[in-house]
Amino acid sequence: MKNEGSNIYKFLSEFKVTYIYLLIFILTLAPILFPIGIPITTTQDTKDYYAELKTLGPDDIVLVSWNIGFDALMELKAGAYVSMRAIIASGAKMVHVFGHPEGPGMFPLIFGDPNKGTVGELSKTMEDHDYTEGDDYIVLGYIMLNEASVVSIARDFHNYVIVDWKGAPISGTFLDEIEDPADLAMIIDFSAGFFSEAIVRHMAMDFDTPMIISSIGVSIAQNKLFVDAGYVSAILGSTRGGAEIEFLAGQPGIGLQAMDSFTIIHYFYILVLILGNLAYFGYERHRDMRRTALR
Amino acid sequence: MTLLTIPLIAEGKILGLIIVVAVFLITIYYLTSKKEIPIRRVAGLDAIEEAVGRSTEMGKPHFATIGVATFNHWTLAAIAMLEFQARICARTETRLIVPCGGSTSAFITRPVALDVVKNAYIAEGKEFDEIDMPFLAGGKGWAFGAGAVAMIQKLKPGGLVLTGQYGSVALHIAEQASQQGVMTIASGSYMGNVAALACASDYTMIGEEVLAAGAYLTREPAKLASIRTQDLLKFTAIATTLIGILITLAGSDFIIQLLGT
Amino acid sequence: MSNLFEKREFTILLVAASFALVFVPYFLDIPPLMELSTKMAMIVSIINAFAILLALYSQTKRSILRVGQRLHGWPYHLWTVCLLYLVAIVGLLFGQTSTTFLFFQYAFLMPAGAVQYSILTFYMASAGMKAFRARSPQATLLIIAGILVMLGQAPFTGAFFPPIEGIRNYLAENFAKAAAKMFSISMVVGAIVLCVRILTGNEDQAIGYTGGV
Repeated sequence: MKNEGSNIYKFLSEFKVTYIYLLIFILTLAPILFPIGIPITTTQDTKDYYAELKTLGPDDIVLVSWNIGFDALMELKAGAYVSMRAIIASGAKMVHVFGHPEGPGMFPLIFGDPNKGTVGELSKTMEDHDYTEGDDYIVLGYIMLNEASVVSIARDFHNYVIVDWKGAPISGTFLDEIEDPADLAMIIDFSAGFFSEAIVRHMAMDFDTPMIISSIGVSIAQNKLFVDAGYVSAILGSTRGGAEIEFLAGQPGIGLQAMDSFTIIHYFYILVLILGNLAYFGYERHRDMRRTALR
Repeated sequence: MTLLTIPLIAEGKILGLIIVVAVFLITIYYLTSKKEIPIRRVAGLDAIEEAVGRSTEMGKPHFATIGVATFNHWTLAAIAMLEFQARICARTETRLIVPCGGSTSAFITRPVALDVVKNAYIAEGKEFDEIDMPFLAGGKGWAFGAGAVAMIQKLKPGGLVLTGQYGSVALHIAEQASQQGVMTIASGSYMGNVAALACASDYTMIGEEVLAAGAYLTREPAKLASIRTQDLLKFTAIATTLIGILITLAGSDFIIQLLGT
Repeated sequence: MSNLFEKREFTILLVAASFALVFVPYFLDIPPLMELSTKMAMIVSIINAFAILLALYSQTKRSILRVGQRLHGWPYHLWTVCLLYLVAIVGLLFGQTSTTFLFFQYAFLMPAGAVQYSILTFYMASAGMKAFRARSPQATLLIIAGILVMLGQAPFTGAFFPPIEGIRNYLAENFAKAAAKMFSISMVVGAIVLCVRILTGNEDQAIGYTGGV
């Protein structure tokens, strides 16, 4: 009996991680293929974020900063789609800047490209609201290379940016009303962590511009400091935040779809933690003590 | 909400200016004084020499990194540590490999790092082969990570010092190195990274321990003393927090106004 | 003249002047200085962008060397340099929004980035199985806190056990945020002290000179 008990712990201790990987793969894929419909609650952070979006109106100009590549887009796109739909529906104008070289590739996936007939996720929404490039939104492109670029955009916008990402001049557009970030109604930052601080420092802090951040999971604690300091109004956190805002907005999509897998994988991680520690207390600790004794 | 405004000084930045000037003056005082101030051991920094030694004994190369970001404080601290490691590697004739890349900024930081390493080798009477500072990929941290992991899997270094600013790719590299049995010393540039790297690495340096590396590793009394400034400001922050709690509980917003000045 | 530029003192002076040009206008309300500082920020930004030319040169030189000498992995270098110039030419000829240019992004970068990002999930799982051990009371507390936070993160738990949201918020708002705040403070102070050491010439490595240890 004693041998059987120690065998179980030894088995757990020597359990190959590749099987864990396989289980994660299956447990992630299965609920997507066979949805369960696990219920979801919404947190105050997401409610605050959504409430901020709802304050926008037709006279507002919003700076949308995409400081993410394709990788982080996978995590934030649920929230991004709902945020953009809310802004389009409000009639507020948007100016898009990218802080990542993949931004110009990522943008057509979301907004499409009417000139080239490319259809993006939000093409239908833009069509319904007659939301067009040039009149309602302008894309400045990958102009946010580093903190110095953020400073230049904040303090000397019209000397730093003369044309949009396709080479069309921005003079004569709604951007003529923007001298500095104080003229913006809001800054929305989709962030993988690196640029948020620079934007907070040089735009939100210096010009008192309201700002909200949609942040990847590992950066939430860091970005919440800005919420505490009052420079950022709200944070949308990662995949779960995206699902919550889809629920709040009544726009079920990929975020809510992912919540089944999200929940199951979280429980699986907890199980893995517990099993790993059972292996430690049942086998590894005694093994190490035996080794020490033998020496 | 500020207590006062002073002409010529930007609104809301008076306290910031005072703090920065104070830090400057105190640091310069310590740098120029002959005081010998005891500094606690930083396990991660002490382990750098051990990691290089391990590589030497095993006859394996030693890996060092400087991050994927531009010239910020993380990269500068990483370059200071790189210089230290380059000297030891040159002295002990251990092969030093410094994979670079991971962002467009890496194109600027790599030449400086190369210069620093070459000079360190020359100071030890040796020559550094530029091929040991490969530029793996620019503009994409993941591509750099994949390249670094491939090198680690192939060359199986004795030690890896993962410093500088990284995103999530640091966990990728650290975990793979750990699985290969490499002694890993890592530093996280943000809280989430620190937590993740603490699991994958043998030693973790948190926050300012990295930034103090340049001073710590030289063991020069004046530079070590400058680290005391960091402690002084932290004590001030703690005291301000405690006093602020008491004052705010008493119903006054004086401390909030003071901090916003 | 070139000897002057090679001197360590000149480099430090240049660093100090650049620092002053950014530091002074930030704190002092002097509009002409602020304009100068903004111009300098713009110049730095443009120089950074031109680093892409450095990249082309560096990568081409290195790849041609390896291909020419048939060093280990040379086919990958050939592939790299061919793709590098192909994408650059396509981007310059057809524009960054062209279908051809975007094909490279969607066919290569997007799936590779998504896969790399997803791999972290597996690493965290293996860390959970092999590395997170309750070896000490502090580690045990940390694991318990981690389990509570993960339970709170899973939306289903909140649906059938609402108090978990409060527990998660308590841990996140008090402990995680406190740690993040202290991390930020110590980082900023460390950066300022590092800056002073560089400006006073006590951190030569940062400006490219071997200070010596």
